[in-house]
Amino acid sequence: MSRKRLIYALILLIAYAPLIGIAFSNRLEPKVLGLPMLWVYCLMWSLSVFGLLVISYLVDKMYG
Amino acid sequence: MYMGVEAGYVALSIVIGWIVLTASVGALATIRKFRVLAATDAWFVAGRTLGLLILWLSLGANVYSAYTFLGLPGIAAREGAKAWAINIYGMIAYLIGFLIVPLMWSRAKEKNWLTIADAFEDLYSSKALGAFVAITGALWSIPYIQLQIQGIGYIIEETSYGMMDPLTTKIIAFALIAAFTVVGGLVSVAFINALQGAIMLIAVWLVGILAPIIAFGGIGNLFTILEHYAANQPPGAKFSLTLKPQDISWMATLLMAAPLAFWLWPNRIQNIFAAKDVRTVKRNMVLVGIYQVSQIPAILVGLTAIALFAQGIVTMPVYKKPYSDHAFMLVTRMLLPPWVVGLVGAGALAASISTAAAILHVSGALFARNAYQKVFKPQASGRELLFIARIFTALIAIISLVLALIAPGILVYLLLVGYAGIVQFFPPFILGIYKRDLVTKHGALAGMAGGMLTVAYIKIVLGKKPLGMYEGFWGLIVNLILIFLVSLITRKKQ
Repeated sequence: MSRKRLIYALILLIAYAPLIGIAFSNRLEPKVLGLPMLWVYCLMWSLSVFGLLVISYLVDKMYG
Repeated sequence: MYMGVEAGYVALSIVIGWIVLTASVGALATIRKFRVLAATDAWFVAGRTLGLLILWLSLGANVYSAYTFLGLPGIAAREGAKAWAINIYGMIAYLIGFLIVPLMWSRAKEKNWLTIADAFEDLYSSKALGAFVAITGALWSIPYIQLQIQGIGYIIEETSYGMMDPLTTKIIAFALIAAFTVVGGLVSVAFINALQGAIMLIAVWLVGILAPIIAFGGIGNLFTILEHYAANQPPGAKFSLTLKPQDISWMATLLMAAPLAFWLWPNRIQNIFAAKDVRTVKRNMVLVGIYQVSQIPAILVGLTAIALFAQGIVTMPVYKKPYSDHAFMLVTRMLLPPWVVGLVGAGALAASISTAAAILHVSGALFARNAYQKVFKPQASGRELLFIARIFTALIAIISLVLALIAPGILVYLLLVGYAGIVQFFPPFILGIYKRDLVTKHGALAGMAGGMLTVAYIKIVLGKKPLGMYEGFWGLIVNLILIFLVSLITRKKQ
């Protein structure tokens, strides 16, 4: 497997990894800026997947 | 809050004016052969000629429709935390798209595929398989069309400030979609789409951020009200700020299945195959991903609607269907003057019409080309094919209208049913490209048919999801078992 594909596989793994933690974060407390714990977790998850999309773009540019 | 006939006239006039403007500019562009401006061709390709901002805004108007602006706030108002599953699967779909779409594009270019049915026909050397994909692709688009008809109906209902009843608005929605489908790509002009995209983007952020602040003084207070509401909600309400155990298995299976279908919708894959440059495809994937972030304020709008109901400020029971899908327009109407409601409604409405028209257009063309001509009548003339395409398109549109009238569904769930069916193309498509020797055409057909029948059985006969898992995921399990089993048997025979 090429280095680029390896990085892509890793990126996909990271995108799905928060699924494991969802059961543990599925609660209201503690709150962050008024948002329940689960909502902060999902917000971070969503934004981090977008971050991974940008990283994929940069990896693609780097390795061609 | 602005109310009354006058407000309705102001908002509706803007909506009608916008539709007339879009149609006129579109017609002018086509007549004068300004094909470079036609966004249906330019969905991915126009990046070479259009400025980045115009391109990005017009992409947004193309991708997002009633589903994002009405459906997502709707599910947030009705069920709370489950809305996150919808946002996150979309985000993952872009990531997966970024990784696999360039590969799909390269193969399509190499093999000269124009549609998904072409791909199946070529991969498995079977015209019947191509026809099967063309027909089932159209059938699974029915819920997608239905959601656009319902969504457009809700927008007209809200922008008329109660002057129009739901039946009339759905029939108007159907007529608008039918008219724009007949004139083909006329409506899609990049600059108009860009303007629409800008209006929708500003509206969703403005309403999403301002609504909780104006109504409750901030997001913290909004959640305090929602916590109280969740503990004292009316009978039959399903709102929760956390996920129930069955919601977790639904979310996990949805996230695994739905992103795989995202790029296999016949209209989307056609755009990908048509792209001239893979770099543009990749860049656009990241750019459109930004729109997915805009779904977050849309969720906040839904929460504001339900909190307003909890406080008794809104009387519409937004906790149940079909009222929950009115959440976005309802909150917009409460906070903003009628002319802004008209602009927001017009943008969302035009985007929904163009989405529905594009799907119907592709469905008809696929049926005529990959099913009627290739399987039933190879000598059919161009005129005959056009006639067949229009008959088939009309049939699909009428079925969607009838379903919207007699069995209206929740917008988000309608889309997810479509995804559950379309994702059944994924295993034989990917295996056909990478492990062709593992799968026979009979295996591919049995897998897709079995998967789709499983989805239909769960949705129509069973009426509930076994173990809480997404119906598309169950379909994929049956699909994979049948693919390998039937391929094993038929390969031995061959």
